[in-house]
Amino acid sequence: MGINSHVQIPKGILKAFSHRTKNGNCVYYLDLHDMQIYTQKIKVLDAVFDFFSEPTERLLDAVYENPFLQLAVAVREFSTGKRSILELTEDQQKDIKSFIKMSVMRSNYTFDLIAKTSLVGAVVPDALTIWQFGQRITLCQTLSFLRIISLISL
Amino acid sequence: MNDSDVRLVVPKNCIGYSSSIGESFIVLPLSPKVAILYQSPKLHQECIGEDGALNHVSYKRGDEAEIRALNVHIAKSERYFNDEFVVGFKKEELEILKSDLSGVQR
Repeated sequence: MGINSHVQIPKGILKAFSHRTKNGNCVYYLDLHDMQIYTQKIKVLDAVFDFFSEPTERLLDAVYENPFLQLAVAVREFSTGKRSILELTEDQQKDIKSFIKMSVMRSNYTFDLIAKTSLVGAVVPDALTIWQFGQRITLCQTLSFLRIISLISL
Repeated sequence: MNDSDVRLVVPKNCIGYSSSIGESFIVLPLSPKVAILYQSPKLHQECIGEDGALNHVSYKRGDEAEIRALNVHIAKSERYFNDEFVVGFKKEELEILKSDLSGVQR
């Protein structure tokens, strides 16, 4: 059975920017295409039904999102005074790096780059969009994160 | 930490990428009031003031311009990575960001 997957932004981050309504937690967002401000439920925004399989969703949650979100909670508590000291372990520092890398890898920019530069992308244009995420990670790992960053010129 | 009157926004991609004094840094907004600033050791050193305190750790009332500039960097990063959306806690900061992106004074 399929599930609703948040493609890039985790629900735990959206929740921190949300407000309660009678229809559930909602956020305001600025659409960068038409530059209009809209409101949407956090369980709907950036969520696509069956985008990731359940095992992939579990993997993403366990390896990337949950460790980062636990750290996010600790940082928020520190910022509001609920926690007097915040010490980051080496593992938590790695969690931040992993989350950053995963955010870049999940972006449209990276997928477009792979589609343009990979042999598979050139021969089978739709190949990347139908692959399972586990294989995408493997493909993405062939691209150095630093190489991606070096291409960025804001 | 952001105690200014302008709240942080978060992009779909979750990260804002920018540079200062030739060094890149990454901002990860965790809430409208707090973010992780991920920067190089060199930039970290540059941020230590004469009094030994680390700058860019706490933004107070009066520092709204810095947060607005950060939000613009976040939106530009999102344009680069996805070109989709940025999320705000209130409409107000998104209206400010919209005008900042269009170059209109507010």
